[in-house]
Amino acid sequence: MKIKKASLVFAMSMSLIVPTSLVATSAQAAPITLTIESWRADDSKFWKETLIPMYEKANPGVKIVWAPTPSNEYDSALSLRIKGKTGGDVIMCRPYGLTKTLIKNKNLIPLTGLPGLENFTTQSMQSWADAKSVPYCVPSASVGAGFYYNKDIFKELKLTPPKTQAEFIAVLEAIKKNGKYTPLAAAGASADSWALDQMGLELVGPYYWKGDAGGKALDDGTRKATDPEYVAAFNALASWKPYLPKAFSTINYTDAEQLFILGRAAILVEGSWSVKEIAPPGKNVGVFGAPVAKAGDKPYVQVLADHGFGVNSASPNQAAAKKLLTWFTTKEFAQAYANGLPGFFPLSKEKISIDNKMAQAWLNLRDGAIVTAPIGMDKMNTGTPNFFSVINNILNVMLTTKKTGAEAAADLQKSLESWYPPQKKK
Amino acid sequence: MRSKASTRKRHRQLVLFTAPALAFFLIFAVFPLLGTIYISFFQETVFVGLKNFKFLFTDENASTRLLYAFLHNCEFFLIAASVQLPLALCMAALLTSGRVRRMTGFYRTLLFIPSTLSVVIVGFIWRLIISPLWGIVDYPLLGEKATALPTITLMSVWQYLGIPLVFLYSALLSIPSNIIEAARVDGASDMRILFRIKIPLIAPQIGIITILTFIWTFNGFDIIYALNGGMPGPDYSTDVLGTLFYRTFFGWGADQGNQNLGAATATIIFFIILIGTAVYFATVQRRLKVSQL
Repeated sequence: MKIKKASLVFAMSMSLIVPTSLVATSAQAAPITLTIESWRADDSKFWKETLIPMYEKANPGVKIVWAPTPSNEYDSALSLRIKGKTGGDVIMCRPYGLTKTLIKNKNLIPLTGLPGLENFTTQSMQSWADAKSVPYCVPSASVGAGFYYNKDIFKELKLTPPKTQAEFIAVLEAIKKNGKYTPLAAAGASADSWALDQMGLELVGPYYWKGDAGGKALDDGTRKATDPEYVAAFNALASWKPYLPKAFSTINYTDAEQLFILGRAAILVEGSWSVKEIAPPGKNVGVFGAPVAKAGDKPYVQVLADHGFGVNSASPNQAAAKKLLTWFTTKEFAQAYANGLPGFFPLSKEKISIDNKMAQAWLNLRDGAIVTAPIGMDKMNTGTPNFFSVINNILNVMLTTKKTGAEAAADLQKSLESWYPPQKKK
Repeated sequence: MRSKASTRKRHRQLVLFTAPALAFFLIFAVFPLLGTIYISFFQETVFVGLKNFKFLFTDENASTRLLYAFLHNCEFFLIAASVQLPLALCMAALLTSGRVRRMTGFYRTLLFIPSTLSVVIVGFIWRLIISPLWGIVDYPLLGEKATALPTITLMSVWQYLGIPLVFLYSALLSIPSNIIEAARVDGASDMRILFRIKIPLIAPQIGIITILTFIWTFNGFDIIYALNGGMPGPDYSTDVLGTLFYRTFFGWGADQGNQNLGAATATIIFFIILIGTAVYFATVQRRLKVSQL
């Protein structure tokens, strides 16, 4: 989920590397080569050194090529490759968005009856299923968002992780008053504005708009973004403003991470996917979830289905690809995945033990909480403009200027009315 | 007198020698250009006439983006031209004035070095220098809507200053020294010589540099993309035609690309540059040549 900024040059060189690596492997003939398309370039080492050898050892005659594309360019590059019939055999599926388009265009094959699919809940399948709930991808990982906090700073200032919004503001205020540390690090540079949505509004909002019900009401057009529950969510996010780093509008994702890692910021709003970078073993770091308004209220926790795997309908090796997907459904794979990529949680129903304590702490945030998916992902995220690009920009403007939560909600409603049919003025 | 046969031979030679360049130009410039215009009339494989253009000019969201991208490009051009040209002229005048003596070559090289760097590096270095967090400027230059585009433009000006500088430098060197000497004998000061003799003499070069800056800024893309990605903010304030085209054609984030709409955008950019350049050559540049000595 972490979107790395990549230069055009890098994208070009990637597109050069991918075909040559294909040529190189197919020249050895004989074994079936399966290429996996992915945007998780960060995970290349784990795939190449652990997962692929695991599978290749158990399945002689199959060769797997891991072919990642930078995240921001994945959707467009993959669409072009699929159109040109040069896409890989196995495709890493985005939740909703592009995957729904691929399903509509019959670029993925339906996975009905794939052995092992019974290991997953229907909820975890819905982000890559068609309108009739036919699954097209094997769910492989979910992520969550929340706050890391520096335990040493909390100890120094005699603070405890907050549970309610009032406590949260009190903690931030205390850190600000002390003056030694930035209270809350987040990414405010426009290029990383996706972070303010996924680790901002979607983190604090579900409590106010009551989880999936609020998302559906917006999708159906029965509620407007200017209704009180959404405005309250925007306001909760806007309440961070006084505590963000100095010159927030230029702080990009890496800057925010660095501020926290260097101990200059007390709290960092982040995702579970960066456990390895933010909380390496030995770092005194804790984690807490989105604050609620009243003590005793049930918290909502955002579980974002991050990626799954599907089979390209243009692939000549569909049988072998399906067999690989069957392996992705097994406990063996889920267990290796959970420990190899801490912070990415398997969606499998199997009992998986997680070695990384920090990753386990993230998973514990889900205990006793109401699990919800982000809003705007299902129906509003296809086409241009779409919910993702619109909300990113609106939140970036809200947090870097004097705009209030109510004004930001009004901006969103105005935009939705101009392009999203169910929200159009009747 | 030249015979008919030898004229024909000369013609044949002419065709032979220009053929490689002509073929190269046709294959890699004219053909893709016509291809782009051709696919801008389609949607997937269906011929839709001018519908793509109609959409870009009339759709509420698309037309706003197009208009702002155009205005930002104008700003980009005006700042680049009004800063880069006078600066390059000053430096070229200094280099040719004889004041720097034997250091001319050194300064010329020094000023040209940034042009040889990669934009990605230039963007990265400048971002760090002006970062309020790690750098020396205590103001979010890149994060404010009002200052973001001028800041990026100035980075670009800094990088490419060497190119107009070298143009003007060689133009100044080619001014016959007897004219300068005559003026000096008449008692003209250095400043007067610069403004009344040297600059009027190199006016055509200044014109060419202006129009090259126009083409270069309206095709601008790289430094903005390197710094701000395909949806350049804050709040689209650094979005130019180049990044708009990239986003429309290839997509960005959750925005999926549309090749036909992208081709229509590229066609619009092409015509903006074509018309701008044509108008300039038809009016200004021709007059400049007439006034030459």
